Amino acid sequence: MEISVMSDKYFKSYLISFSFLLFCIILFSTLLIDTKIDSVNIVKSPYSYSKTIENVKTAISSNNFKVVRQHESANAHTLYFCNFNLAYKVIKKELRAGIMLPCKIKIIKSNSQVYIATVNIESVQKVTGINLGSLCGKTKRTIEQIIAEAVI
Amino acid sequence: MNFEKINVGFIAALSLTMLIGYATQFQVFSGYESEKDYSQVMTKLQEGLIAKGYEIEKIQPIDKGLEKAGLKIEKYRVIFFNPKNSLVNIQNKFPRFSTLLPLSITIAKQNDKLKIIGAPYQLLLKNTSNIELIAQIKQWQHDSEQIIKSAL
Repeated sequence: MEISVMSDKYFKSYLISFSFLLFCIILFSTLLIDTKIDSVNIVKSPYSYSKTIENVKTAISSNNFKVVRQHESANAHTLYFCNFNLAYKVIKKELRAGIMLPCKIKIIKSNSQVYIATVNIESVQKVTGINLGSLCGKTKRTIEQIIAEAVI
Repeated sequence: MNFEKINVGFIAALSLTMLIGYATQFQVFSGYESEKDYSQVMTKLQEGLIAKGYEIEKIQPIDKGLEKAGLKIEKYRVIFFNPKNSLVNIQNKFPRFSTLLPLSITIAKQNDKLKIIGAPYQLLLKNTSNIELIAQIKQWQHDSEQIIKSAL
């Protein structure tokens, strides 16, 4: 009888502990399962390499961003661009956001095809824990718009 | 001995251990702090990168760019760099992954202290399943941490 009373007393504690343990096991197992993600958005361009670069530059300007730097490498041209007001807000909100600055779009030549590639900043946020709030969505939509305009 | 109490305690301890293990992965991307002079740290970082065989692509003066647009922030620079010997090979073999390059180190002044933030290597690791590339990313991460620590 005494044992039964003791079990009742600890039943709730056991239930809570086991539930917590189960939650932790699920959480911890996400570490062990090394899930791969795709942080790169890539679109095929119907235009030539040089025409695609020009199109992207025009789309950047028409979306109130400014090209701050260009870099040509073996098979790619990278355009770094910025909207100063947006960058200012981003840095004020999160100092670590420098890893995402300036925005960039890469025009890649591969097997006689031309691609426009960009980093999905939502996945950067997710992995790094940097929280830009609504600024992230706003920037992501603008970059998508730039790419859409460049391939029309 | 009260076995029920011990069991509940054991479950709780096990759960907390797993929870702490899960939480530590988010502490990786917190950056480093230094009270040293900006130019001293910047010089050390550049020297460290060159000594380890990296090529500095550009030092982006984010604060200067914003200042030109009338927006004042404290010193904020991003060093963009590439693994000198393997860059072309990566661009040819993994054009999609190469969108995530160059690597970077951000140096930002905040309340008389310097904050130094490395590239999000966890993000790079999550974007490939190629064993050779994973080994390279881990080497870059190791080098970057060593370079930053020696500059602090």
